[in-house]
Amino acid sequence: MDEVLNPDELDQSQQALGKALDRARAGEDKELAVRVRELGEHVVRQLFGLLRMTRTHELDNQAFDKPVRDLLSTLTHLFDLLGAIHIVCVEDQVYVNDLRVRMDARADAGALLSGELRRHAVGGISFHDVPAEPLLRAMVSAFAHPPAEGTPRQALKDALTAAGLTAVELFGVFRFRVSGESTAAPSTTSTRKVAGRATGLIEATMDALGADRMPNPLPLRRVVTEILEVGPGAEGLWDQLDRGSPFSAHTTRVALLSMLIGRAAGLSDEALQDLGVAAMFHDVGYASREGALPARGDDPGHPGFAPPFERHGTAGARLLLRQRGFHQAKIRRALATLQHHRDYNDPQGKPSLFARILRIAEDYDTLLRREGGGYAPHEILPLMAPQAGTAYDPVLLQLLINTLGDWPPGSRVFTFDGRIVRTEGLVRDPERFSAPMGVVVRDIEGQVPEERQVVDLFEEGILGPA
Amino acid sequence: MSTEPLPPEVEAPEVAPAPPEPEVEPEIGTSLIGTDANKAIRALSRAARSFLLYDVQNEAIRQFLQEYRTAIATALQHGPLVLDVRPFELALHGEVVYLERDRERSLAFRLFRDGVRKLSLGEDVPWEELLRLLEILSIRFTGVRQSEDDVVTLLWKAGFKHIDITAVEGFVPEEEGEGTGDEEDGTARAETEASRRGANQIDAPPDWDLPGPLVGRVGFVGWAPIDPDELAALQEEASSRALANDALTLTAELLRATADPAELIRVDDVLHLIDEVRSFFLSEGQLDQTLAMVTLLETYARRDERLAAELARFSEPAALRRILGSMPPGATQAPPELLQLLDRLPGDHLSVLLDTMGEGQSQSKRAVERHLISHLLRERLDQVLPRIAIAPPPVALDLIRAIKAERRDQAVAILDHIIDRAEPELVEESLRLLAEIRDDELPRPLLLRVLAGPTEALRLHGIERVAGTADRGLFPAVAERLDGEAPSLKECDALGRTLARLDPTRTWVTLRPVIRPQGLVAQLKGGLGVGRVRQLAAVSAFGLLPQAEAEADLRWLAERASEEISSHCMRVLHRRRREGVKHG
Repeated sequence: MDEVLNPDELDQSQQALGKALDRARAGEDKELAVRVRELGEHVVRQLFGLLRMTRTHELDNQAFDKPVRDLLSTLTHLFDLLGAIHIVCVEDQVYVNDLRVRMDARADAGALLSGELRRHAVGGISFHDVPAEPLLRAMVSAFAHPPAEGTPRQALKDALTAAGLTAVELFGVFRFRVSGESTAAPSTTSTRKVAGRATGLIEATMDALGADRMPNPLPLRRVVTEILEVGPGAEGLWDQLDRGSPFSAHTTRVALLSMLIGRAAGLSDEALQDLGVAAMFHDVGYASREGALPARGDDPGHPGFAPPFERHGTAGARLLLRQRGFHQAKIRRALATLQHHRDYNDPQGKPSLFARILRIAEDYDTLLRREGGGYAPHEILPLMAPQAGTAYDPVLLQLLINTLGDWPPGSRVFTFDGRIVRTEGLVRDPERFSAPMGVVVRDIEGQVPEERQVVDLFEEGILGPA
Repeated sequence: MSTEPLPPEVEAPEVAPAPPEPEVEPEIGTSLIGTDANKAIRALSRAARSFLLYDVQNEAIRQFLQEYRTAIATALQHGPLVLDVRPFELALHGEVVYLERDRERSLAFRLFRDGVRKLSLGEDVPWEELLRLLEILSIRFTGVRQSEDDVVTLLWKAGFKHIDITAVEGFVPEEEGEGTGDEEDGTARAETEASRRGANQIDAPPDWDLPGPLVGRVGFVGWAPIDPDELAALQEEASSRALANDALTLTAELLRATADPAELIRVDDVLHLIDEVRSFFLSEGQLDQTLAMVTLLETYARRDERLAAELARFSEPAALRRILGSMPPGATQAPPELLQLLDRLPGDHLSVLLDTMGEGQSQSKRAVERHLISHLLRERLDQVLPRIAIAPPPVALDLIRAIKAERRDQAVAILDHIIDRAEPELVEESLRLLAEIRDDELPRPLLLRVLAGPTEALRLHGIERVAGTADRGLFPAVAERLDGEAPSLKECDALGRTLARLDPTRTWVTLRPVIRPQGLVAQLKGGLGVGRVRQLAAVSAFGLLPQAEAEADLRWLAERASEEISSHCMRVLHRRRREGVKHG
């Protein structure tokens, strides 16, 4: 590489960078960071001030009125700018959404706040919503209490939950290994672990969204990336899903099927990643609650009801849009969530690409469910095929057919010698469309094999469904 | 460890004072390879953080890009760069080649926090990949609302061939604070995630997504090839080119849902989306989509004042600035969609446009602004003209061109507003306008202002015009100019000759005492104490007067006056003969 860029190269580089950064930071202006810092400084001072006041005043003292209102106002402004607010204390530094808050060294509020939180083994607080004034007082009160012995952070979390502060999340004290300490070598990706992580994350996402927290796509994006690395058709992914709840298993299967369709369609890595994340979120509408009543005094309130089928798409889009900032993935994810049960030939217009893919993947998996019909894998695509062009995008459906073949993964077939094989592989080529790889689940005597026996059904032949 | 002195501040071209340089990390490295690696990493880190301080188009960015390129090329001469990523440092074969403990500034921390544990740059890595790497790190450094991606997912998407990373499997940053900060393997991670389902466990109802799809007859399923054009169409739908359409569709469908009482989604839930989508359309210059969004909002704005407020924001100065900033290079006029947009939107766009003119130097932006001004000023000329008197010259000229494009009859009005300005470009414009304006079109008051203009070129033109009027009533105005201080000989000459032409008799009476003073003492002084301008003009005037004594008086003065006056007298006498001035 030449060391020097010529003027044209410099121009092009600058233009390319400019365009990319503008897109990535769409909606953020240069002053945003300045405003966040300023407001962050206010939050730190005000929060610490309130905690310190609890040493000398009861919380119902009028002296707290203004400081509480001030903190509430600052949190509201910050929330309006950022969405979720993440405050992290590290030694004497305080960071608000990764921006270091520049505290006056003389006042040392950063170190003091850090100390207050550390009493409870808390290193960070996330606000997924701005608590109402009574709840904010309850939060201050919880922090003001002496830390519990043993597991102070867990005790504090429980206290906040009991007070109704589900939108406030606590984190431990952050510590990183410094130079010289050994670092465990990262392991190569294990498909079984990836599957477990995926279902676990979906469940955690439902919990978080149901607790009014902000959508956090990043962990799901990481697991989608891992799935794409090993391949959405990889064996270990499909047979580990049932360790999670039926819902999380369903969501993960829909994601895998969607990514298979997307890959077959030749979508870019970026689009595949976005599609996978959209699929992970597609049914989060069921985490929202209609008619919820908060607890008041002796009245325990009511948790509310999940939306019905016809409203869960809109409910999901509403939850996803709480995430601030313009992003291509967010737009497509929300749109797919909104439209994913719509027919291909819907009078309102053809649904978006992601929605059409999700529709096919979703219906495939629903027909597998006992409540949805309990069909065997090999029966499903022939049932879906007549609706190509009406309910389903015909090209996308054919792509799934070309990928799964006559005997999709999970199908049970007899070989000619009487063994029962469960198919695991995808279509390798048109010639072997009806003959994937599989694993013997019953040998000739009808017994479960002691060791895993992989068979090539193109060699063995298939007698029929088991 | 020494700290490198800060490089000299780079001057930013913007009006605001130059921001400080990105702070410099420590210079470390013991071996030559280590030192070069350190320089390369610091150059990368500084370039990535520079976008916090500078706009992308700033000249300083070019410098950082060049430094980055040079430093990386030097480091890669030693072979591939394989860096171990630790919380606050990067190590090359065990040697620490980068150290920065400030979480906000530290490149190592950003990588470590996102789960990266090794970063490898191949020795043949092309500049395109290095630039993309810089882009990814810049996004992570500068974005405030970045919750969608981290370094790992961004790098994966980039599909590098010569840059590789090793990342912690299943890394989720928040969990690092749960215990000692040790990394957990995937199994423990799954357990941790499972354990989060405590009191707030939220499940989908057992009948989720039911009833299932309706099925009936069974169809045939077999392998079938897919037309490449159909695949291409699908890929196009997933590309960023289709994003604007998706954003508009999402907004439209959600707004429709807000009108459905059965749905729980409300206008409040959609306001942020509208703001973000509007910003996106404006930044990208998506005028079609912007128009469509305006149409959409107009429908709903009638029933909800918050949506009316969102509609009004399309008319804000910031919105117009973004549209103008998105015009492609080489644009010479505003696209029809932009004109339609401005016609549809409420608000005083002309004032907003007049306020934004002059920001930035882009030629295409100026061309579009001129076109927009022309479009908007039809009945608003009175609002635009006064701006010309005070706007910076380039803006004033743009306004003039815009006015002339729309109203060719405004030369006098324009001149009226710029005649007193001395900037060379505007003087030139004034002269151009004067050339267009006939004598009978030029009002007297304006002619007198030309006569008193800020530059000699204008004053000479004024003098010539006055002479052409043959209006004796203008004699005093011209005579008043004789009390000026530093006009050139040429201007004095023109003044004198004009006086003589306007009113020879009055000129003789007024100026004879200047040429040949009355009284012995005054005569002995020989014209000393008379103003230079007045005397030179008088000499010139006498060159045209028909009075018999005019020549004798000039000779008399020539023998007694200063060298300048005396020379001028001789020139005038010579000219008088040449022009054949006859005695009256």
